[in-house]
Amino acid sequence: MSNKEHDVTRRQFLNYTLMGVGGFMAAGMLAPMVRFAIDPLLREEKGGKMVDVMAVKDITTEPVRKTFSVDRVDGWHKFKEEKIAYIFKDDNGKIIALSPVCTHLGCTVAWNDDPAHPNQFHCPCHGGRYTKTGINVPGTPPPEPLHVYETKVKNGRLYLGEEKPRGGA
Amino acid sequence: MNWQAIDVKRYLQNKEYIDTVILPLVPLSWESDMLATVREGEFALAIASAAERELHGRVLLCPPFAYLKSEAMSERMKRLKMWENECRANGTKFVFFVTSDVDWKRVEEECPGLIWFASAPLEHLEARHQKDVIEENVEIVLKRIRTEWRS
Ligand code: FES
Repeated sequence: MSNKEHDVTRRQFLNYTLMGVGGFMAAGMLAPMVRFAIDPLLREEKGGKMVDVMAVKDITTEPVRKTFSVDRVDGWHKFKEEKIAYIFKDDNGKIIALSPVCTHLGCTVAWNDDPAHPNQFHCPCHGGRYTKTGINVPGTPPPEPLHVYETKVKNGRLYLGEEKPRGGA
Repeated sequence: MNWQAIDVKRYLQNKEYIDTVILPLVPLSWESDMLATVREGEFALAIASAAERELHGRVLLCPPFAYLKSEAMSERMKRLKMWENECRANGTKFVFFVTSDVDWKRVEEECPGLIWFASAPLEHLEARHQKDVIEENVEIVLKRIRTEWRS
């Protein structure tokens, strides 16, 4: 399985993104075959695979920042994309994994780092704010809530897939 | 935003929000210091790109300002000022130069947007360690930029 994949370093990530890598071409030919070997439970709608991010027992009601990487294809160019998720349980015990990419213009928001607005996500760029569940605070620039990752739990581990917008503010 | 058509389209539509330019300063040399020179540029580019990711919505990461190590500082400065003026004439309020080349430290006073950090030989570091080193230095850049934004 692919648990090792999120150990891909920023450096490798940079290599892949900045230079493009021939070896990845070969991987490209193998990937379609490998895809069928992936546990169907961990397959996303589009057929990509979900990534093991953390143990479910370590998830609390306080959002925690986790990074992981996924394989991406951009035209002919294959590379690793590094992703961030803020993971926590909501009041009903449901696991939520938020993408910290601000829905205004795409800066990376942080949890609870603005003393003037405790327990919110805060964007360093134009003062965008979101509640703990990722709902954009009216009167700040973001036009919609933070996107949420598809989540799946298997053998006590949390797996994340694609991030999706959710309607309504 | 990166210097790519897809990002620049967004830039043109949202110019009032994207008021900051990051310009990596990348040295070239084939002398005995070639390897160190390459490292400095590589490191600055890595840090600049990581900073862009965090501040995507307000920052335009430009292609590097490249120069020969043998180019006189006064010449470099002249060219760099031209780049900076061009940015400012087009509505950029903040211009930051990120570099690991110690040459620039000597002219820090004349170059208020300069952010210098020591380069690390990334290729010798273990994966996990690389990530830490990069993150530490990105933090320096982010702090500096956020402080200027607030002032
Ligand atoms: S990018 Fe977050 S508020 Fe503008």
